[in-house]
Amino acid sequence: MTTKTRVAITGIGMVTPIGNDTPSTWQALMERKSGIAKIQSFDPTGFATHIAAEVKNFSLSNQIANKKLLRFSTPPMQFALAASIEALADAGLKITEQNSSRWGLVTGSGMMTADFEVMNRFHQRFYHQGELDLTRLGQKGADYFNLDEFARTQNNCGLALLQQLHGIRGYTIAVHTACASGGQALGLGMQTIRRGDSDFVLVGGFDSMINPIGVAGFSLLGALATDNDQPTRASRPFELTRNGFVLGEGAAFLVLEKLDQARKRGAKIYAELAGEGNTLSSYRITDSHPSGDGAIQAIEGALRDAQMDITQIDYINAHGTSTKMNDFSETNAIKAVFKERAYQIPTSSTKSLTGHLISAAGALEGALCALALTHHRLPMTANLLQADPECDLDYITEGPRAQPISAALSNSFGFGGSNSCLIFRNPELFS
Amino acid sequence: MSSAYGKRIVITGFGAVTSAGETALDSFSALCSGQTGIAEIQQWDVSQWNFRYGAELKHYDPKTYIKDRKLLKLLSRHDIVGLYAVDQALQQSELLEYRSSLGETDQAQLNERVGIFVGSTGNRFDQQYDYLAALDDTNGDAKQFGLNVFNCVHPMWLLRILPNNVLAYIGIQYGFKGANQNIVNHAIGGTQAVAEACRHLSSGVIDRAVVSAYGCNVEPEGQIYYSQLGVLSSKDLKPFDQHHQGTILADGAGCLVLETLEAAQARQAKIYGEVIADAVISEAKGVFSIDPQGTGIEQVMQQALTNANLKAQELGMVVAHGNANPASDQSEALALSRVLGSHKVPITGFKWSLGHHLSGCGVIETIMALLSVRENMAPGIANFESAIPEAKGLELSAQHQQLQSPYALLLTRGFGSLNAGLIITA
Repeated sequence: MTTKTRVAITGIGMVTPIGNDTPSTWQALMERKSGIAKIQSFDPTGFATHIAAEVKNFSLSNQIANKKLLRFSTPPMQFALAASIEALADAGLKITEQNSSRWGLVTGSGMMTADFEVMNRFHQRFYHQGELDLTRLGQKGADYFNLDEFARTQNNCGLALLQQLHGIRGYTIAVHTACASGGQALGLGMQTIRRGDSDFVLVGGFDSMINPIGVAGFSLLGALATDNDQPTRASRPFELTRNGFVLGEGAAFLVLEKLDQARKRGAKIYAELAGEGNTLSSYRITDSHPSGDGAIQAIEGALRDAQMDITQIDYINAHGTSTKMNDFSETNAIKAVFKERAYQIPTSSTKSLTGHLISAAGALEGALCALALTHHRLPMTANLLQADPECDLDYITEGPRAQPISAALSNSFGFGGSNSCLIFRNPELFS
Repeated sequence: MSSAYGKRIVITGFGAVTSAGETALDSFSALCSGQTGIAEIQQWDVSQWNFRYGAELKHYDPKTYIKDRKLLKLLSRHDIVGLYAVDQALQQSELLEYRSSLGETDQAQLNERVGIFVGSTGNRFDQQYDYLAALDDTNGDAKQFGLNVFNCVHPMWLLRILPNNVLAYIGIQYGFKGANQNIVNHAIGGTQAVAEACRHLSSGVIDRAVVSAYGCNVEPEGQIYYSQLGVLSSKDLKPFDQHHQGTILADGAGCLVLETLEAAQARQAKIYGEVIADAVISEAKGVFSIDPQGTGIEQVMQQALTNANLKAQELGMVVAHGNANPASDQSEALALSRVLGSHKVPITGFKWSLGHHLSGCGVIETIMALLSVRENMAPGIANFESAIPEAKGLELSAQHQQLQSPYALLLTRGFGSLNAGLIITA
């Protein structure tokens, strides 16, 4: 077997519903603080769901000199810019003219959903008596055009802004496989280092669907929890009474580099990103297969890629969305792969506190695995009060658990059936 | 020459639907006979519009493209077009016939080692229009909008607009379950889908890959915004020509079936060509700006050549991005001049005939490049008259040019000052 280049995580940055940087997010997680509350950014009371996990008191303007970057960016892109600044500073690395083409960028980015205010303006200008007036659009569209708004609708706008802000000129790519996006981005980022495309890669995810269009889309599907009176209880992965997920928003970015190189430069190494399993369930658009099919192959693929076996994983950060089907199917996948050992591996869903960051979820949860390896503490699954007999693993319900671990698995599964499983480990314990 | 991927990656199937033809071969023969799919837009009344041209599909028919009526209801126009090209490519590859000749276990194993890589549009503006009725009488009030939504928007709306729908339905329809990426990177997405498929085939996690790229870019808002950005032409698309004035947006899709040579030989598949190398470079200039000197596109060419262990003079042809947007043409021509120097390498492009598919162009044009190499000629740019100063000295022609070698370099560029290249052979 050929030796794979080992990849280290040397920088972490994040903006989340429970903290606007990495230390405050980790601290909130350890203090069991929930980011879920009534939606503040618009009046949600026309929808069945009034709650979400919003980023709070966030401002980027003092961190960015180039105002065009701000004008071109949606809120999730601004989360991404802030998280990326933190990650690079944390890694102690500067991107220079000389090394810029050896820097890569991989993002898991969100869908283009129209800004509500922009859509309202479009509606007022061009929609009359139940019809879009295309003749009028042709005549007046030119003065309706707004460059900033057009930029924000481009599928790689966030990627372009990150490249521009940091001067990244190497292999750059943006991927979107719904809720698997962030995980797939991390896996792909690891591969770009292994393949030699880049010496360093900034990799992460960013998203927000907490806006009237995003909430409408998920509400129409009946996918969101509707516990409007008890927001902090709403996200309860693996619980018997779970009834849907809670939208979150934010960004998480990591700096990846060759492990050898990180050691040589004396970098702080959070963890090694050691393996990726990337599969498609090819079953249904929304539901995962009840047996865990698809997810099973992804976990097995990650183990194979990391050249590890099932005895070596001692924490699982579950996808754990708090939907009926995901949590059931994911539990079955873990059992299918880890057999009787499944019951001994502490497993938690941090979405119980952060909500579901969609395209950013896999990136955030990967970063949390790296932090768990560093801090020797495992985040809990909050709100698991009534056990579901079909979900019977060790979900870390009592609170964050002080426990040193050597390797963690992070699962992300998306609408459309893409599955991304990643393995993070302490590089000192593996050779 | 040597493959940049450490193993040979071969093309065993291709399919396309474009404004010039309903199949890859039809599109290719149309462009070789000097025909263009660019015409006045038919999807809506453009008589009062300044920018009236697009490269629309002439025979778009969802019911012929997708036989499964239930599935059809869940798909957007661009997904339908994307999946139609996939169907063509898979038929040509005879991969499904081979699979059904296997036992159950081998079939399952095969499925898990077929990856899916897609260059996706992301979203279209018109996918949001379902919400316009819900905005009536709301005065921008989110609460009233929320109350209206349930009465006027289809409950499955979100599932119809997922940017990874083509990827998902390739899996659901054909049962493939391997590594997958859905790339949303403006106009280099399709090229990166090919590149990522090759890299995954190289790493050994898959044996085969379905590579799809699509874009239905002719839509009212897009037409307005691209024209206001200053990158659209009001009539034709004339790359590197003194009369170039911008690009023309296009609808269409392409699909390639790629396999390792070993996997293709194991099933005695017909091999049409090979992908040898790729390169991707960002200029870090922001969303819309590009470097006027073309440094990014030059680096892509150099890097792709280095990766393929080829010299510039060993190229048989270059398929330029050639979108006919003056700033893009000028910088690309400067870069081509620097890389090719005095070597007489034929240069062509396909957008003058097919229009600009944005995310779709990487795969569609790879197929056209493949067919060109198989015919041993660089199809002429039929509307080419006289070169812009930056392109003087480049081997551009309205006539077909004969190739001196079977290696084609394909270039694509997109928003985000991104540049990507592929080297293929037949």
